[in-house]
Amino acid sequence: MNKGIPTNAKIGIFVAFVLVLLFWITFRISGGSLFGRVQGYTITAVFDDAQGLNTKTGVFIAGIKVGDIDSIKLHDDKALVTLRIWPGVVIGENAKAIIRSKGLLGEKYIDIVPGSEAAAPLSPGERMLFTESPPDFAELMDRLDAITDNIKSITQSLNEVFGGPKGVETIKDLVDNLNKTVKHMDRLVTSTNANLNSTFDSVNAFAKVLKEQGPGLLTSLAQVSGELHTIIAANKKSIDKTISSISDASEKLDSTLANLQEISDEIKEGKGTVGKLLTDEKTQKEVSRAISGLSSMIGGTSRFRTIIDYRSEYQFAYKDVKSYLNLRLQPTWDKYYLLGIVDDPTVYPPTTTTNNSLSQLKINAEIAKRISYFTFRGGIIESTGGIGVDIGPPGGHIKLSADLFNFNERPNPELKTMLSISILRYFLLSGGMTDILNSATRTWFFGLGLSFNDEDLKSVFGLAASAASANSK
Amino acid sequence: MAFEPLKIFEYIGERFTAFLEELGGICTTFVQSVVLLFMPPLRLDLFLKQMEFIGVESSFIVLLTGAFTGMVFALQTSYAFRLFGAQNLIGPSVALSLARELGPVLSGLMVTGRVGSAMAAELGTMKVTEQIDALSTMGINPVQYLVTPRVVSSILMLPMLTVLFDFIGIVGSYFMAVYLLGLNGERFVNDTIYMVDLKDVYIGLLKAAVFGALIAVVGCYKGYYAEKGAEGVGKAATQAVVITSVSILIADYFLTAMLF
Repeated sequence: MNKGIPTNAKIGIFVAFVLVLLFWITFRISGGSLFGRVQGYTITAVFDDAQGLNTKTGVFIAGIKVGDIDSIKLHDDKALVTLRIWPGVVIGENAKAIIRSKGLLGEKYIDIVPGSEAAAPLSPGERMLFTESPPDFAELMDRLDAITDNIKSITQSLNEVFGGPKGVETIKDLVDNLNKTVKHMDRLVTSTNANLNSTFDSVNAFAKVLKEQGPGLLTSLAQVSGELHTIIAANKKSIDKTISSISDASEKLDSTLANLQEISDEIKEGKGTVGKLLTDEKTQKEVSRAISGLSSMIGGTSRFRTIIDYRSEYQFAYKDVKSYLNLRLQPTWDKYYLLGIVDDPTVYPPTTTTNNSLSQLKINAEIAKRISYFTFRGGIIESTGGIGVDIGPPGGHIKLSADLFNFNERPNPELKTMLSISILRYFLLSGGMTDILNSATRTWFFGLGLSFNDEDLKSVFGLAASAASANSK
Repeated sequence: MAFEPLKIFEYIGERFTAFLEELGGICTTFVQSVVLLFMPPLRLDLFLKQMEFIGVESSFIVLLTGAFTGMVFALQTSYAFRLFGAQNLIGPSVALSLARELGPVLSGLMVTGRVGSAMAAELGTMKVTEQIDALSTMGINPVQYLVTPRVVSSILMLPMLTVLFDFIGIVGSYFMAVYLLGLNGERFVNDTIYMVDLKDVYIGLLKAAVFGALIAVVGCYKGYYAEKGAEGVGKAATQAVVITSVSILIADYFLTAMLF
């Protein structure tokens, strides 16, 4: 065995060394105490959420450690945390304990924010009044998400307004407008300035003249007034008379005006027929209802076009006028129905007597179909069966027509050819020959007519409606 | 030899019986040694001799192992913690793992290799050379004379070696972290102290005591019941090391589960 050191000493050294180490480790870990951590005093704090807290989690004031967590217990669904505060550290009654974390992933710690200095210090075992638990990380992310969404929508709309070539143009326009406005304002100010300047100049000049010639002017003014005075004195009587007659006339005018005022007042109050008509509420209602009914009717029929035309033809052979009133209902552009009445003064066989009572009322009822430049008609023409054709561009102002009807009465059926031109939108000029095939009764004619479509009628009704509503006010 | 399937069951049964027999023997030896501690005569010089052998003479190998374990652990964890920018956790993680696991287990394994095999060989030789029988004839209880001092010394010395291991390991990791990885030394110490609890250290020492008992009891048992010849002695030494190492690791698991 070893000569020098005996076994006992070896073991003694070894054990002593190890025990010293063990004591030292214990001392350091326990924070200065060999047997548990009994230093300092404890206070309690209740947190809603103590997640991430542990015993030994640090308690800090202003980033300096002043203690740690002694225990965490469940207390009425909340976390009751006991804090061990190192001796000499004073925590005020209104201090606040906040759970914070070091960095995003860092561990949690308790930060104590001291209250006012005047507050009484917490004594051992007391509970802190103010605590704050950190927001949940997921909740935080949710909030962040909502914010980024908002920002996204804002930038998106901005992008929509200003982004792309269109946006660039918009901005350019804006700048251009601004530029123009500024220039305009500049010009305005400059010109105003010039005007002002010239005005000032004129005033100046005038003042100068006044200054130079003032005394002379004043004397001549005094002279003129003196002369006026003598004239007035000489004619005082006649002037007085004139004035009194003027006064009389004005009095009469006054009474006339008063009468007029009275009448208009009465109308306003609803006296008399006119007044009643204009002021009675019931009347107004009825009128407006009638108008609205009318306009709805027109609206309903406006799906197809309605054309009314009236035409009078002077027949040269008979020296008389034949009149037509036709109503054309046109559901589609290439098709229409025609209903009309004809006042025909001519009688067949012709008589020498011209008697108005002999004139006949005939009817038209035709159906028409347009194919390109041709419109073929068929049905009842002047109370007999007949066919016809119109040639003319669609929607044009010129039209050539040929009608064949009345196949039985005369030796040959009646054939009427006509060229019609519409002028000034509402007027129709027509001319042609009727009953060409019967030499005895054929005649030239010349016609003049009016034509309205539903648009025209509407505007007429509209005018009436607006006039009525203006009255009702 | 003819193939006999039923021999398999016979074999399993034999091994199982042998295992139970051994477990019983080890337990009996432990109980005997503890009981005999309180019976006169108390041979203190035997205890001291064993303490010197187990504790003092093992301290060098434990210090060496501990220092390098701490250093390599600091280096390895620094790679991982650098990814999170959490290098300040190197000290606490090294200290915690040393105190809780590596200290007791590694010093236990080191002592097993050095002491457990020596005990088995020594007692096995005494058994083979019939010295144990001689002790009996002299009226000396061989268990009290041979086993009790070893078991008690081992139980006392293993925690001490673990303290050495923990300390030198933390010093090694401090050296590695501060001088080679460039961390703040003050911060390292503060964080380590902040994170490690006394409980961690004490439970580590309790584990070490259990391992100490295992080393001594298994070593003595294997030597005490060694078979004849030099071969038997060698076999006893080998088996002692294997059984002790395995049982230390198994026991460590259960102790950790129970105590933490």
